[in-house]
This record gives sequence, structure tokens and C-alpha cells, in this order.
Amino acid sequence: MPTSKIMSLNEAVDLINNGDLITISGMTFFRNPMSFIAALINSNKKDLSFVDREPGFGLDVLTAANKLKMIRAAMATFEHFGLSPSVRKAAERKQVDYLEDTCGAVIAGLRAGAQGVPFMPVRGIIGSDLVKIHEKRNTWKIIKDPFTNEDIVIIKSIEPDVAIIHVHMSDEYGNSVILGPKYEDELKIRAAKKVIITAEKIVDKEELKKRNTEQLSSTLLHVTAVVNSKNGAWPTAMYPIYEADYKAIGDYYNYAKEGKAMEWISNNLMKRWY
Amino acid sequence: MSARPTDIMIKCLGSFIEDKDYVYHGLDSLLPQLAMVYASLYLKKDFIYHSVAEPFLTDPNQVMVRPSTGDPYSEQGNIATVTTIDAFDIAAKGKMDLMYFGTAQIDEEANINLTAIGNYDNPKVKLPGGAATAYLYPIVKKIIIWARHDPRVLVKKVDFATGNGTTRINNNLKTILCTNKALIEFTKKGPILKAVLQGFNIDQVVSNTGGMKIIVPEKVDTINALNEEELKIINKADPNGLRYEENYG
Repeated sequence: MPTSKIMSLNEAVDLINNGDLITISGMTFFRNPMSFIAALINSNKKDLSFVDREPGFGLDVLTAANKLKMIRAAMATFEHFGLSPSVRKAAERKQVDYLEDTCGAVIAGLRAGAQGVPFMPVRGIIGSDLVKIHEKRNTWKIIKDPFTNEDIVIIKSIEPDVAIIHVHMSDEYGNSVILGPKYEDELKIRAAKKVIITAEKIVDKEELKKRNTEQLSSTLLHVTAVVNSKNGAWPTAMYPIYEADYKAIGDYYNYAKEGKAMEWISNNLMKRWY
Repeated sequence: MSARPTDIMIKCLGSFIEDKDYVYHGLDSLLPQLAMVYASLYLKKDFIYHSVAEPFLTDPNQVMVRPSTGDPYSEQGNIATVTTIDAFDIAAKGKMDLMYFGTAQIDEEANINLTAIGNYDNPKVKLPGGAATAYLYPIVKKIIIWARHDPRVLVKKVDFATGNGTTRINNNLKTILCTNKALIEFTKKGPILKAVLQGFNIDQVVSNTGGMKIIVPEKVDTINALNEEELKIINKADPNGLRYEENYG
């Protein structure tokens, strides 16, 4: 029998090392692993790098809490509310090293990471000024397709040290299921060196057997830790269980714009989990 | 009836959707989301509705806007989830017909900037980022851009080309700009004024740029105010007028 991987949020946070590259599940206001992010803010972990396609709330909170030294994302936005308040401030003041990416490239990099290959070619992109930025950083290159001799962009493999993924259900070993929108989460699980699953519900084998025509989002082969975390995405949504709490997100946005993000985080996010 | 520029922009954005098109909208795309509803329910276009929210074949009758256009609760009546990864692979194979992009700056060659105002390494304003712009801009058949008609936006040369318009224009890919004053098409000759929104004249359009020279042909159309039925369709999906908070008038 495999060993149970169930642990507490704090024990899971200890799997992260200072300086690690992390990625989180979801998108802007959807399925972010917020209970874990609260635990990470509560810890003494620091100097983390962050990669994701289109992050929002979770990223801004981590930035406000000064946990990140580097951010790589295709877009960081609070959408209708405005620019991601703490990310914008940190990037403009150079408190964080911000590398803009583009969706197709982030996906390609994670694909390479998931497949254990050094890079992945991707269409489009050529002509964007982002190419120069990434060539300098050694994250993209333009090469000649060896078969046609045409120019094509290649993306260096993205292998996060830790992926933290909030799912609908998991067993104690990390066999998990995400319902509805999946974004890049299944690629992140496969690309990362360590995977921490936080789950709305811990289920037994019999429950998974009932769903055995569905594909697992992660298997015990991918996962390092499993944390039981009901409502763990709040205030982001967990479709189809609960909606985004736009009132809370709007309040945070206003606090953060006034430079009081940590006040909101302490009084709301931390109080909920500690 | 509504002559508000926001509503006429939605009509303008929706008018480029054709039957059988595979159409996709991204994050922070309230006007495109409503334009897709308008194209389906008013123009009766039979197209494939998909978005960054990931529901596939959404029922436009059941769209209800929210502060995020990535919200799966806002696009109900779909048949299943299809990921953005899949959507972008479809685009890479040349099968995405229409995508919408917002922008902070656009220039005469249809280069768009969503990255930074000022220098990338030392930005005056750090913008949210181009999301899929750099990736999809060279490969999607029709790109429809929406932006504020403002000298800071319609410029001679963008500070940073997140999306490269020159490649699009050279490859004869349709590239359209709907502002809150006008409809402009980018061509090898430059940006051409195709229509003004009702309530604006040509001079207000061409003089209100930050160096972008807009070519005015002999015939310039007017995009009219919305009739009752058009407005009713948009109001049903946005009963609280969230779209007006985007500040396009």
C-alpha cells in the first residue's frame, strides 16, 4: 500500500525552500490555493519566484506580503477592478523582478517541463518586443526549424520547484480530480518537482471508483503532499461549489491601492485560517 | 434606444463575427463578451462561442456579465469544459477565426502595447501584460481591438510592441480597431477610417490622436445608436450596467 500524504498546511509549507520557483492553481479570481497562501504568508519563507499564465488575487497577496523576488506571468490583472495593485506597485518600484511572458509560451514551457524535454517550439510570437527581453534572460530563443529552415521560437522548459494546486477532491495519496475549468493545472502538476494538493474534500477509494470514467488530474505518482482544505479557495471561486467573493476581492483591491493590503490580509485572510 | 459610445462599441465589435467563426474572448473583456452575445442574439450569427473561462459552446442567452470575464458562472448553458490550452492549440493550427484584444497604445502599423508605458526596464506605468497577445497576434485570422479614442492611446509609435502589427498587415490578416469614437481598419497604406460612431464627426476622430495619422476616404459610414431590441439584448446580459464602469462613455 502507498503511504498517506495527508499533512497540515504548515507541514506542507515546510516543503518549500527559500528561493524556490513556485506556481499556483487557477486564474485571476478562480481556484487559487488561498488557504495555503495564507499559511505561506504566515511562515518565514522568502525570496520566492513565481510563474503562472494569468494570475490575479493569489499573486497580488503574495506580492503584498513581500514573499516574492521574481514574477513571470503573461498577465497579472484584477480585471474590472483595475491593475493588480500590489504587483503594479512592486514592479514600478523594482521591489520585484517582473518578467512578462505570453500565454502560448507559458503553456509551451510547462509542456516541456511536464515531458522532461529541455524546450518546446511554439507558433506566433515572432515580431513581439517580448522576444528581445526573453532572449536576454535566456528563457526563449529563435532557432531555425531543422526540417524547414524557417524561424521558430523555442521556450526553455519551465519546471517549478513546487506547484500548489487546489482541487475538488483527492484521496490521501494524491489521486485527485479537478472539475470544470482546469487552466494549466494538470501541466503544472506534471512539470513541477514537488506537488502540494489542497483539496475541498478528502475521499476514499470507493468514491474515486464511482468516478473511474473520469481522468485523474493528479496521481499518487505526481504528488508530495495532500492537505484537507474545505473552502480553501476563498475569496476566489471553486466552480461549481462556490462563487468568487467579489465583495471581498473589491475590498482587498481598495485596501491594496491605498497601501494597506497587509491590513486586509491580516483581518480577513489570516483570520480565516489562523 | 442608446447612443452611449459604450453600447455602439459593443455593436461595432460584434459586427465582425460571421457564421461558423470560432470566436474567443480573454480576461478583462467585458465589451467583447457582450459583443458575442449581441452577434448571436441580434445579428443571429451562428458561431462557436469560447472563452478563457473555459465553458465550451456557451448559450449566449445565459451569459450574465461579472467583474471577471474568466468567470465560468457568467457563461452557462455550455456543453462541457474545453481548456484554454486546447483553444490556443486550435489557434496555432490556424483555426481560430476571431479574437478580441484591448490595448493601452496602438500605432499606425497596428502594433499594440499592453506591457509598459515608458521603458520596459523602468516603466512609468506597469500595465497588466499582453496575456495571449504576442502569441496569437500573428496567427488569428481576424483581430478586433477595442480602445479609448485618446491621444495617449492612438500614437505614432508604441512604447513597446507586445503584439506585432506589421506582420499581420503584411500577411493581409484583418486588423480592426473599435474606439469610443470610430471604426478604423489597418491596411498596408495605414489606418483607414471606416466609420464614426453616431454623435461624433470626422474631425473629432482624426484630431484626437497622439500622432497616429488616420486616412479619411471619400466615404465614411456612421454606426448608429442602438435600437430598443439591440439594447434589450445587451441589458439582459448586463442588467446592472457594469459595462459603463469601463469608462467609454
